[in-house]
Parts: sequence; structure tokens; C-alpha cells
Amino acid sequence: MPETHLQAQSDRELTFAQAIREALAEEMRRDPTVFILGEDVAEAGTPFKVLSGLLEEFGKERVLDTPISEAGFTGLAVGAAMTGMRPVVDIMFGDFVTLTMDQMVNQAAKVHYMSGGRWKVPMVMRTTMGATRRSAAQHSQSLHAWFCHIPGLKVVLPSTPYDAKGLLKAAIRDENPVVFFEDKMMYKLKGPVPAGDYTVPLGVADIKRVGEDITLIATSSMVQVALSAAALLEESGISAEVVDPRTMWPLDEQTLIESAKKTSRVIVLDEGYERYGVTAELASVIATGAFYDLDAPVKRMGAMHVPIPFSPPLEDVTVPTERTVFEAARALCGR
Amino acid sequence: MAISIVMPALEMAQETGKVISWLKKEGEPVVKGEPLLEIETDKAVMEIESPGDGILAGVKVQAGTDVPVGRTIAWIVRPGEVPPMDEIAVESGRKTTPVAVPASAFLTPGQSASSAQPATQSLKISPKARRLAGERGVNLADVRGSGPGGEILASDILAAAESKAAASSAAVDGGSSISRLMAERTTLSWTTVPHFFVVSEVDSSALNEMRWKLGSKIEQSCGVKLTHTDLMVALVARVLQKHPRVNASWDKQGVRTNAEINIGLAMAVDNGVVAPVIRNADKIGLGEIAMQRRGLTERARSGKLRPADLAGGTFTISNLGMYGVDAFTAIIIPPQAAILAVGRIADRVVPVDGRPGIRSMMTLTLSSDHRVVDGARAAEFLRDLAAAISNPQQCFDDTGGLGSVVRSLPSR
Repeated sequence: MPETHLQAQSDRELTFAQAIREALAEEMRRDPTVFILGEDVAEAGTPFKVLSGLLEEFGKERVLDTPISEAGFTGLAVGAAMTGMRPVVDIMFGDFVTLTMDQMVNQAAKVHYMSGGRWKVPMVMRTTMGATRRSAAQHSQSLHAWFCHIPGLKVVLPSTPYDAKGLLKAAIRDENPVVFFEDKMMYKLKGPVPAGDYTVPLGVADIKRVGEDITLIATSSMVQVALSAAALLEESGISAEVVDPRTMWPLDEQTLIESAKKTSRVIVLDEGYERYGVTAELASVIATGAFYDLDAPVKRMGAMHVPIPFSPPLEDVTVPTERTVFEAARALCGR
Repeated sequence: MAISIVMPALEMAQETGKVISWLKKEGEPVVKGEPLLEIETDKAVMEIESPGDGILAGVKVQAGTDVPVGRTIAWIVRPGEVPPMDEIAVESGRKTTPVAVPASAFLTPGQSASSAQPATQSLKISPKARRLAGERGVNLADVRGSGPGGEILASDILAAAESKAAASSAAVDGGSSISRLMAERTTLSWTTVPHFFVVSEVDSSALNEMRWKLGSKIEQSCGVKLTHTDLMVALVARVLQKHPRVNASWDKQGVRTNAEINIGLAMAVDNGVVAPVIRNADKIGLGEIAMQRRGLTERARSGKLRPADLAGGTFTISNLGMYGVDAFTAIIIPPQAAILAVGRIADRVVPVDGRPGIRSMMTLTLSSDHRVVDGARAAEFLRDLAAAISNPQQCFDDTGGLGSVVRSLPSR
């Protein structure tokens, strides 16, 4: 893949947050219709400091602080997008996307279809996901599956700084709504990011690690968990392949299926609730597409079906870790 | 009334027979006693004769296919009569017209026995393994699963396919089922029979003398050269009379003593080893033993052993002395209780009257099934055998017939 070559060639390192900021800044420079709105996005640069410095460069006309009114400013963004702007909505905690559901599900996702293609909604909703920040049950969820369920929405889950920049630029340039999930625990993750313009196309999976014995399909920060588990597995003589779909929709089914066919064993990892979650959909893709090449049942690993606890020892066991993935992979390989 | 032609069981442990060729065509009239077809059992090729007069009909099995013993393979019918319904169809309750059933549809008795449990437990097998099994023609009943819960995995199928390929290439080399049978039987024996071994070095000088002394007489009278093996058969058989336990068999009920002493002789053939049997070896003279041995050897070499040649052994002798082997251990042929491994006869320096002397020595190794023979019994047998070897003249008269000692033994 060309972007992987780029990634390998770049010796400049950025954090995940810096990569997001750079993507936004580059797109705002390139296209005057791109603007940001959300809670605490301007002076504060968000509680995670992802947007620091953008107010200074682009001014308060393009970096808009809003009231605490997710439904309202998301609706505002839908209207702006329909009338020629490219808004980037910031929903501070992914838990609050529930407030935006009518605007996203019934308006943003439907307008292009119901107007017979005459209206477009080129908006991006950036929001966060991910547990283990001790943020308790209302600030720790990963609700991306809610949007994956809706036709008309694209859903992006970057796992590296490189992917974050390239995918966000592609999302901003997309002609219809894209929901972009950033794991708040990855903002400090460093990785190579080329300076200048590049995009990562939506709907192209990336093989983050090549292996032979088992495939770990992982999303967002679970890719990092899978890579750590793969390193442990290697010491046990198990060669794990790590595949990152990068976008939940459009979904690169073919790459997932080909990897499953190659290794015959698959674990699907996602930080959303396991029940009725992303892992179920991905497991189904594998079971259907690679059935006659599977040597073991597809294993799903997601968040436990409980409100994410505040208690650190409890919170830590609700989501997959490198240890649990390592053990599940060994069991699946019969070792 | 139609008469069924059934794949016969010509040996006790036979599981399948292969139809080599039909000597009569379907629809052809036959009379009782006429050869109908040739079959190959695990150890021999033979003709099957028609059990009655009539017309050969309902031929179910083509040449070259393996059929479980007891399976109907054809019928002899009266003119105009239709052969009865296919047995399998009748058993399964389906009303079908008789059709040729491919032999591959049959489970061999061995397969049905070993797969009985998994079949009822619903076999666990991965989708990939199932696909590979279909593609490579691997019978799932033959595969043991290595998955975490005993599931059959792709690697198990690939291993089975590989061993199958290896086996079939061996069969191509040898063109016979002897090597396969040898593999099955030795594995069964080695893994299920509790073997133990007792070893004894024996002075065979007297045996050598005996061979020269009686050899020429027997060659004149019987036209056959006397071998050490013949002498060993005769001596072992005579000593076994005193040790019925060593001549016994293990079966499901326990120890079964055998009325006859039938000595099997392990013989190398192209693809492995066979052990044709000299029956009642304790009741016949050396000349008769030598003639039988020669007949068996010739038939074994030409692949013409009859099932009767191979049946009924109660004790086996394996002699590798001619290969220069000093000593070895042999694998018991179940249900027999013991097998004697005979090494070469060689000059050794041994104490003779307190001084080093050179004697012709031979090493005997008795493998015994501990369920039937314990260490003391095995040792006693070997001790008596050693005594008979070092003093063989008491076992024979001067023509190689039964000696006075043997005759005086009480009959059992």
C-alpha cells in the first residue's frame, strides 16, 4: 500500500493529537469552507488539547465555541454542510453522541438519499471513545457501533497518528457525513507522520503486522493492544497477523477475509460493547467469507456488558488487554 | 432360492478381502465347485468356488475393491430369478432396487468399531478440516483430533493425507496389503500387549552336531535340507508340551490354553513379514517339519500362501541368525502369548571347566505377554529350551522322529 510506504519513509514523529491537529489545519488552509464547532474547542483547544493553536491561526469565525447543546450545534452543522460549508463538529466525549442521534441518523444520513442526490452533507463529526481513563460510566463508552448501524453514515476509527491524519483529511473531503472516533487514550501515542498533504482512503484496511498462525482484527486503540499481544505471542512461537479495518464503513471485507483464509483462526477486537457490537459484524464477515478456511470458531473480544466502572481495578478488566488477547489467542491455537 | 456369495473370513483376524478378478461374468451359468472369483486377503490370494448351481447375478463389487468379510458380493440365482434386495438398503429400511454399491461406501469392521463412539458423540471438526478432508479423500473416522477440545483440525487432515499418501505409495511399490497389515498388527501388539523379555545364551554345539548327523539322513529320506530353524521348531514344540501357558493365548475372557502346538515361522517377504504355521509341530518328526517349512517358504516367496497356511499359530519363532544378528527382540503376534527371537550361532569364548574355551553359542530372546506369562514361567520355559538345545538327542530318535523323552511325556 502506498501510504504504508510513506509511513515507513517518514522519520518525523507526531503524537496522535498533533496528527489530528495537523490534518485540520492543513484542510482549513486548503479549503476556506472548513470550520470547527463544539464545546471548548476555541480557547481551551478541547480538554485533550487536540485543537490547541487553531484559534490563533484561523480565528473565532472558524473555530466556534458552542453552548452545551450537542443536538443544537450538530443540527447547525448539518444545515451548514447542506449549504456549502464543510463543518467539523467536535463532540467532546463519545458518550454524548446519543444527544445528536436525530440530527445524525434522521437528517445527516438521509438527506443525500431523500433529495435524490441533489443535496450533500459534507460534514465530519469528531468524537472520542475508549475506557481506562477513570472517567466513569458516562465518559468512557465507545459507541461507534450506533453509527455503523445506520446507512448513509461513514465511520472511521484510526489507530495510529499516520492513519489519523490521512483518514481525517479524507473524511473532511468526503461529500457526505463521516463520524470520526478518536480513542482519548491514544492522543499521546507517537508515530511517524509525513509532513504535507496525504490522505488514507476510506474503506481500505491495513495489515499492521504480518503473521501466519492467527489473525487479530482490531480497531482503534485495540490495534495497539493487538500489536503488543502479537509480540508476546511471537515469544510463544505463535505468529499473529494484525489487521486494522480503519473504517467500519465502508468496510474492506476482502482484506479481512483474505487474512482469515491465510491463518484459519481469527480474534476480533473492539472496545465497544461486545454484545451486538462491531465484533459481531466483523465476525460474521469472516464466518461467511472464510468459512471453509476456518480451523476454529471466530473469537470476539469487546467491552463487557456492564456500565464502564470508575473503580480502576474493575475498569481494567472490562476491556480487552494484551494479556487477555494473548491468552485467548493461545487457547485458540491450542497451545 | 438365491444363494449369496459372501466375502469369506479365511483368517481369524481378517477384516477385509479384495476382489482381484471375477472368473465368471454376471449372467453366466455356473456349477457348484466352479471357481467364481479370486480374492486377496491380507496374506494370500485364493479362489472362491461357487456354492451351488445357477446363474451368477447381482454382482455388487468390481475387481480391485476391498470388501468387509461377511458382506454379500454376488448371488447365484435360478434362471429368471431376480437377486434379492441389496442388504444395505434392506438394513436401512429403504425400498430400493438392487444397485451396485461402491466398496468405498462400506465401513470396514475396524472403522466401524473405532468410530462408533465419535459418531454417536457428533464429530467435532473445523470447517477447514472438513473441506480438506473432502478434497484429499481422508476418512474422518480414521483421524484423531488435536484441537483444544479434541476437534479435528486442518493440520490433522493434512497429516492423515500425508500418511495416506505414504501408505499408498508403499502399496504401489509392493502391490500388496502385507505392509499395511504388518503396520496395523505390530502397532496393535506393541501398544496393547504388555511385552517383557527374557534373554538366554545357549551352547548350541550339540545342536550343530545333531544337524550334521540327522541332516544327511533326512535329505536322503525326505529330499530336503535340514536347517537350524527346523531343529528349533521341533525343540520348541516339544518343550512347549511342558509349558502350556507359554503356548496359550490371551482373549477377552482371559487366558485360553491351546490344545494344539502350532509353530509360526516369521519369514521376510517383499513387503514385510509373514508367519506361516507348522501345525502340531510337537507330534511330527524333523523330516516332516523340514518339508513343511520348505513348502511354506516357497509359497511365501511367490505370494501364494493359502489362508490355512497362516491360520492357527500358537507360538512363533523369528530367526535372524542368517543376517548375522547376535540378538534381538521380537513383537508378539496376538493373540499368541510369546515369540522367540533367535540370533546367529557364533563361536564365543566361554568358561569350560574353569578355563576359557571356545563354544558355539546362540542367544535366545523370549518376548512374552505378561497377561499370560509371568517372568518365572518365561524363565522356566527358556531354561528347559536351553537344556533341550544343549542336549537335543533326547528329543529325537536317530531318524529325527520323536525321541523317547518326548514320547514319555504325559499327553494333555
